[in-house]
Amino acid sequence: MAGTDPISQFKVKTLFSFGTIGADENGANGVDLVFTNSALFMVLTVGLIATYLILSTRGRGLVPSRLQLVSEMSYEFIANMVRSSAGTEGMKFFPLVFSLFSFILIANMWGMFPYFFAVTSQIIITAALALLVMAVVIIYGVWKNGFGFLKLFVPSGIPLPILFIVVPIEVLSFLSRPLSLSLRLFGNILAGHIVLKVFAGFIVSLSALGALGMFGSILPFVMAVALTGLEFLVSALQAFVFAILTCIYLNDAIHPGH
Amino acid sequence: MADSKNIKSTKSETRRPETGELGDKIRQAKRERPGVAAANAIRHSEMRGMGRSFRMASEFVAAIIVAAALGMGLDAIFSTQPIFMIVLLLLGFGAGVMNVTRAAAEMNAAAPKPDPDKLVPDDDDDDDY
Repeated sequence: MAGTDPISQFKVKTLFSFGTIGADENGANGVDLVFTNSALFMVLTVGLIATYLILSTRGRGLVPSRLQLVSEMSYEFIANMVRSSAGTEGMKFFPLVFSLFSFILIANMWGMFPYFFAVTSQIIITAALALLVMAVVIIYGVWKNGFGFLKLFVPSGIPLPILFIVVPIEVLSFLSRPLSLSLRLFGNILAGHIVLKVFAGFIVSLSALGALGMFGSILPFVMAVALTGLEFLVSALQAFVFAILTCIYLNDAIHPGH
Repeated sequence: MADSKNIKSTKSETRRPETGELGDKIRQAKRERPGVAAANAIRHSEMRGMGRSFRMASEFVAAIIVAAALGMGLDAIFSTQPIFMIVLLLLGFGAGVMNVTRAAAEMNAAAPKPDPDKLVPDDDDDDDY
């Protein structure tokens, strides 16, 4: 049954170890520095993005080649997104948004290969990305606006008594952002991969039942094919949603008070 | 310089037979497949719709989870179970509703303005019957 276990695909396995640091004399309580399959696919993701962008834009053709066109279109796509949601002032965060979008997109796409590891199906990865966004929002917002950043929690034109209810709600709403940002990406990828594996597992267990089972396994097979397409859609969509929400949150840091 | 001008003028005046033929073929093919653009538009809107639904759901749930966790944490610190959790859960519900309405307002603002003529199809019901 190990082959059809839907959870085993998310196991983080150690590929090789760099050794242990900070261990006491008994060799305990140290931190193991290991290279896992998760790390491998993060390296592959960054490697693919960097190689593609560097190689495809090397020609710098005035009339772009096909490969260069893809790079230019992805630039235009993210640049338009940043400009429309965070204004031209937000373009200083273009590198952040573009890196997040391409990292999530390519990591999701690597995860779509059978037997490959989906990096974004780990909550720690998506939480780290979301916390990075919120850290940038808070640090830049406070650095740029000082205490004016707190205007984010005080909507204008509201009578004083109502503020006692609205301000805690606004604070909670702000605090919920990293959670919703990370849970959405993590949940979509995790659930999608589990469902895909479950339906694929049905094919195996049904076809073990003989001729009738073989015939019956057409149904989960159709589902598995359809879900694969859906998962590609979800992979691209979640990268897009993450990027556009990053822009919207950055807009709050640039222009607090609404 | 004169040569290039000459070529340009001949190009614009008389269609070169082979490219003119190709242009006709392309136009013909485009006429035969009018559904491509429409299909793309539908797929695009479906993709946006799914993104919207996921966004709304997670915004709503996340506010409640954060509020409940925060309330439980405060309760554990001050050992006042379950006062803070109840109060913050209520506030979290409010925050969730606010998140959803705000997300919906952002989406509405981002969506293209509908054609005003199509908004009210036919409301002159007084002289129809």
